[in-house]
Amino acid sequence: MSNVRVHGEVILRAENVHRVFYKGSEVPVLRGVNLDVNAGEFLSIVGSSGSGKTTFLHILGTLDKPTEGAVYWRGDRIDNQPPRVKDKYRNQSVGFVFQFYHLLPELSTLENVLLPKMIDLGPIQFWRNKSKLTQQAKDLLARVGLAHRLHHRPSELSGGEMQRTAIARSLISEPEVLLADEPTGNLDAETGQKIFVLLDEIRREANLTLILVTHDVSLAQRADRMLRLTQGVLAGSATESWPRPSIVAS
Amino acid sequence: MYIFKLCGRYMTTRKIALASVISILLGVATLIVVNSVMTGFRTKMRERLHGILSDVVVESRSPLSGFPEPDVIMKRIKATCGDRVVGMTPAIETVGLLSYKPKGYSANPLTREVQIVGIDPKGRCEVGDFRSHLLDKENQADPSFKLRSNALAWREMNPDLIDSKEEWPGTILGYQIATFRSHGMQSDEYLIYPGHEVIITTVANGDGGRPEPASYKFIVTDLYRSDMSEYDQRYMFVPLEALQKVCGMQGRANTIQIKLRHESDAPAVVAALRTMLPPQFFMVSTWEEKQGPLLQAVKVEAFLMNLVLFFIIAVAGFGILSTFAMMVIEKTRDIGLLKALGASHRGVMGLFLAYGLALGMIGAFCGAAFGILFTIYLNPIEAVLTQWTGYEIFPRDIYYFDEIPILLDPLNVVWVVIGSLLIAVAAAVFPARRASRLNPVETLRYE
Repeated sequence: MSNVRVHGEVILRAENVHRVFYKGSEVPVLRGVNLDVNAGEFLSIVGSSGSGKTTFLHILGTLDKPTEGAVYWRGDRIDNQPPRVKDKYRNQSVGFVFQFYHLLPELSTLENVLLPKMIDLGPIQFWRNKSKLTQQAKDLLARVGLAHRLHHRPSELSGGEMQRTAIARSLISEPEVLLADEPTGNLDAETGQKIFVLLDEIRREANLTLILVTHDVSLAQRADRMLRLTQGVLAGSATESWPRPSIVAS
Repeated sequence: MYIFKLCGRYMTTRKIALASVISILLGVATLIVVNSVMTGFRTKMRERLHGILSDVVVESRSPLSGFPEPDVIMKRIKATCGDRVVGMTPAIETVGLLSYKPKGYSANPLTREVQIVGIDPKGRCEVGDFRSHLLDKENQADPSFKLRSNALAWREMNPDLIDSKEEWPGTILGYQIATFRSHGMQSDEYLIYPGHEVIITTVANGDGGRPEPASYKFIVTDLYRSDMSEYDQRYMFVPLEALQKVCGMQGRANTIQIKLRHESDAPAVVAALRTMLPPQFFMVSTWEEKQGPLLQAVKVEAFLMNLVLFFIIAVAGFGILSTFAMMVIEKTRDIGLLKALGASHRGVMGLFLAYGLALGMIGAFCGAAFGILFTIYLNPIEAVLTQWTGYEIFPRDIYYFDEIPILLDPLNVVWVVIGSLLIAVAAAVFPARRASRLNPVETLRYE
């Protein structure tokens, strides 16, 4: 997997993705979703509750497997790879931001940000690079406005601060794609707005690809491209403003 | 790296896990203390038993008549076993009754049953610790049945209790035959002193091999203290020639004690002698076989004690299991997050196993330290507890030891620590597997 970012090239592709859950009977959630995601693109996916947005995001992040179809990362199929490859993909190529932040309560803000690196590196390698990594985490926390909260536990942070920490954590491995699942869904409107702005700024600064799943259409409309997931199928919207829209919206 | 970091944090933040640590600590400490005492007791007992008996014992199947020409048999034994044998001595062992008049207690003689052993003192010293068990220092230097200065002095002071008309052979009496200690007494009271005259009545080999009663007078020349009450309460030693005469066994013996160069040769020597000596007349056994039931009983007791005590650690293991099972439920969301951030199944499992190992290590190492310290200071602790409670925790007169015998075996400590670590890790396996198999999608929905 190459980490060279070429603006506009397709880095992530979903091809005819189906996802069926079995709860007594078959519950189809995704019914043949096709999507090309371009490098550096800000893509939003909207849809009502239960429409399958989060499921689709999990499939793109290899947390879930499609019942049918395939996911490609930089042209290579990723969804059927062994766990080791998918673990590395989640650790280094994509960054997750969740609605409920999911910070580990035992760790400080700084340690939570360093967590992906702790998972990636062995103890010796980590200790060898500790000062460099710690500085990197501090810089990220400073970037999200939490330089003064380095050693606080999550329980001592506000909702907005926790989400900022989660954003900093998602960036520590310098991923190419950020997968944000309702990042403002658990915050008040003002804080949510600030988080959205922060995400957008960071995306631009780092030339990141951002896939934002939300039910807030007003936020989603500010993306380069907004897609709507309805009845398990993706549909494009009027915000398709990407310069080279190689989108296949079935 | 995250495994170490999170493990460390769980150790410091999850106080409930300390209950498991304390259970392991107590289990390990108890096992070490009990094992040290049991091993000390067993070792001391083996030393004493072995000191009394030689490495190999040849016995006649007919103790009353014994076997003729023990010197010839010993020569054959030497020829068969060669350099493996470093000492041999013949003896006669028989039962009898001992009668004596205790000074100041009773006008009538007192009688008790005894095991009478006819020996050559010097030969006996060659095959066992006989010398070191003698109380008279002069006798220790040159073991014999001669009257020593102590005994002679006593006889001069007690002319009413002696019969100086004849020269009687000497006898060395078991310490507990000659003394007693009633409840509450701080020291032993003497019933029989060296110099005292005693009469033994035993069974002699009569005409036609018929058992006949026979009595003879002996003068106590010394006392024998092996600290094994079984021996000190029953054994009295007399010159072999005297007992041969009393029992009508002139030129005969019924036992040969054999000392080997290396004790480990005993099974081979026994096997060779069993082939050489006709089994219908002779029994050949090692000292351990002779004391088999007693040694086996102590061994079984130690094993059962270990088994029961290990259950304490097993209970601690179940404590870890239940703590971890609850923790996996509580940490479901965090486990999902770790997987979302790239942690492998193995990594998540390793986290919980490492946590179990860490709890086990703290419990086991602290328990080992506590157990070792407690063992080292067991006797002072026992003294303090006895003083505080007024109840004698280790009654010396029952166990016949001056202090609680202790033998701290480092290998034993290592095994106990390893065993408890294995239990701690094994207890963590099930919850750890469960954690590693959690579906991150499901777990991240938890809120």
